[in-house]
Amino acid sequence: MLLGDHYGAHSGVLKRGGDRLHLLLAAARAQAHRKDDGKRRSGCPQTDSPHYLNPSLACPFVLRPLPEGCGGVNETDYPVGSDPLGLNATSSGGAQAVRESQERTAAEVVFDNATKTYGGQAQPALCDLSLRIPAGEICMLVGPSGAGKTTALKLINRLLEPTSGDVSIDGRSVHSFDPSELRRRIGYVIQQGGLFPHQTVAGNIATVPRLLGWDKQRIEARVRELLELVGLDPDADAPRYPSQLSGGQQQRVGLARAMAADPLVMLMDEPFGALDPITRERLQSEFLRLHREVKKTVVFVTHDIDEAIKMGDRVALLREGGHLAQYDTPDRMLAHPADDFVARFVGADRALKRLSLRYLRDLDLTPAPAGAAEDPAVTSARCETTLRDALALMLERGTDSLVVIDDGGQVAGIATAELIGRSLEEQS
Amino acid sequence: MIAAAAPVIPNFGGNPNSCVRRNETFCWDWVSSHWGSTLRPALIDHLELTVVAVGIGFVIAFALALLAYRYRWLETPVIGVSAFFFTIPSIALFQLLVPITGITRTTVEIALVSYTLLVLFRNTVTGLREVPEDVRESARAMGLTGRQIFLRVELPLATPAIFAGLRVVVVTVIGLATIAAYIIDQGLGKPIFDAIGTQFKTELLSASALAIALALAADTLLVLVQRFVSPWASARRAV
Repeated sequence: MLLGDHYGAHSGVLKRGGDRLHLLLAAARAQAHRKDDGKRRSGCPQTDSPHYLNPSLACPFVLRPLPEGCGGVNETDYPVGSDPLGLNATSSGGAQAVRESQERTAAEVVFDNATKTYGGQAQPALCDLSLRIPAGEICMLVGPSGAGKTTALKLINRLLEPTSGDVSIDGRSVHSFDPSELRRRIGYVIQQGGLFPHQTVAGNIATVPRLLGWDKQRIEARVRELLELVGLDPDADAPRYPSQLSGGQQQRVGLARAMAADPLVMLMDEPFGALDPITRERLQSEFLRLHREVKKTVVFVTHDIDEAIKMGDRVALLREGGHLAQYDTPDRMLAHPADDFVARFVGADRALKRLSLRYLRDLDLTPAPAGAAEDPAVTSARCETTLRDALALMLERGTDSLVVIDDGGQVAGIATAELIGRSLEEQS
Repeated sequence: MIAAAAPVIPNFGGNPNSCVRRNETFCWDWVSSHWGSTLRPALIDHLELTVVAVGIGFVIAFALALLAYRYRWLETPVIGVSAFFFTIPSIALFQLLVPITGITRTTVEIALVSYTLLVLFRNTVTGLREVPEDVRESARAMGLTGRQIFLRVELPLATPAIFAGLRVVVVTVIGLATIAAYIIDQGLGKPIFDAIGTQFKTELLSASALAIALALAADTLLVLVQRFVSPWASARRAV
């Protein structure tokens, strides 16, 4: 009953607003179709009411301003010879192209009204997705099963082709590349690793460099470098076969393999999904550390909202039917969920989740009285403790303040429960 | 019965008082004196019969397997036909082929090849099909072309299954090829048939032993080759 009233109220508001919008949108659409007749059109049925009022409607028209930089993406808009992936770096582009492709470490990825309907299915798996992933950021695609996360991911390296719309990398449509050439420039990691069982760890990592025709010494050096980077032993682990490794080690190899040819974009499809919680946690943290060093654009699929919040610079939350529910930074999504679905998905403890994104060192600490650290009655915490853990510590000890110790072991100040609460007023 | 009525000792050659003359269970003397004239040529013929049959069978079965891997609908008819050949009694098949191809080595090889197809085809197709989907997908996602995926991923991963088929087929054909002597005077079947006619134990045992030894040796060789080609398949599993 309550639920019905709730939705009823929404529907009234949205319907009234929708009538006017509908007219505007119809006009805009007609114009758009005249403008780019050659472009494939969205197969999504369009409607003026929110889809949750009528779940059978395949794909409501979503009014969302296109993120900057993705209006009218069109191959011909880019200078002739533009080579975002550096594909021509070794063949024809000359020294300058080589230098440019070496300097650039990450590329922007833009979805432009991408829709994917699988053959024989009435409903699209991904519906009219538009989003811009800035170069060097980690974008988490999160959502329940059947929300089109993996579909969206596979549109980027053309393992799937969109039914309509487009995906571009650094402003150039992925369709302007040869699929194999494109994929060699995009790292790809999947849940089980997808390692080649018949090749050694070194052989697996060398896959793409070999395809690109690197010479032997360069490949060997790169394999060693990557094994060290992902925390494996270059001497002991390189000659082993995947079946001789643990799940966590296999996933590290998968990661190294994906990074081997220094791709501008990395696609990761639930890479840590099959690991035990401790290994997963460790790999997540190590991946974040790694990302700070290499700064690739990462598109990361997960169904775990906690993983999305922990890992993502931005989170794109998809709902059933492949609709984008919200695209935001983790903190803004937690602070201002766009609708009930988002609020439910991020969980009722979203305030606590926001606290887990903040650290004691971020607080404007109250100065501590002299000798506070020596007092056995006070509880202390290190400054890299999350506010969530700090609050848990306070509850456990029955106190409302902590002495914060900085990296050098010195007292940095006092954190109070009130200070922690106030931190949620700011956006991080 | 004839032997019981009048113990006619066939002329097996050699010293009349020897082991051969008494037709004892096994006479080394005969083996060493007839190695060059009887046993070795038979062994070499036998090996040739086997290698040619398995070689041709492998080429045909492999080609069919590639087609059936690409065009799934082909699998059932190919299995049906090769299973049919597999079930024809071998002696009957030899006899049936004689009017067409005559009393020739070709007749024997056709029959032997037809017995290799089912196992080689099925093992190859299964080996290719059992390549894990995530491996195939990650190969595609890394930018391997269709041809590269086949040559660098699918075929190497199917190799242990293909070798398993080869081992079964080689041992089977070495056994079957002894019956070839029913048609032609070649292979280890020849001394075996002769020995059955003359009841000469040494010849029967030595020729049979050579056939068995050949089968074991071929099987061992295939195991070694497979380990060399697919070292990953026998790598120690993770603890």
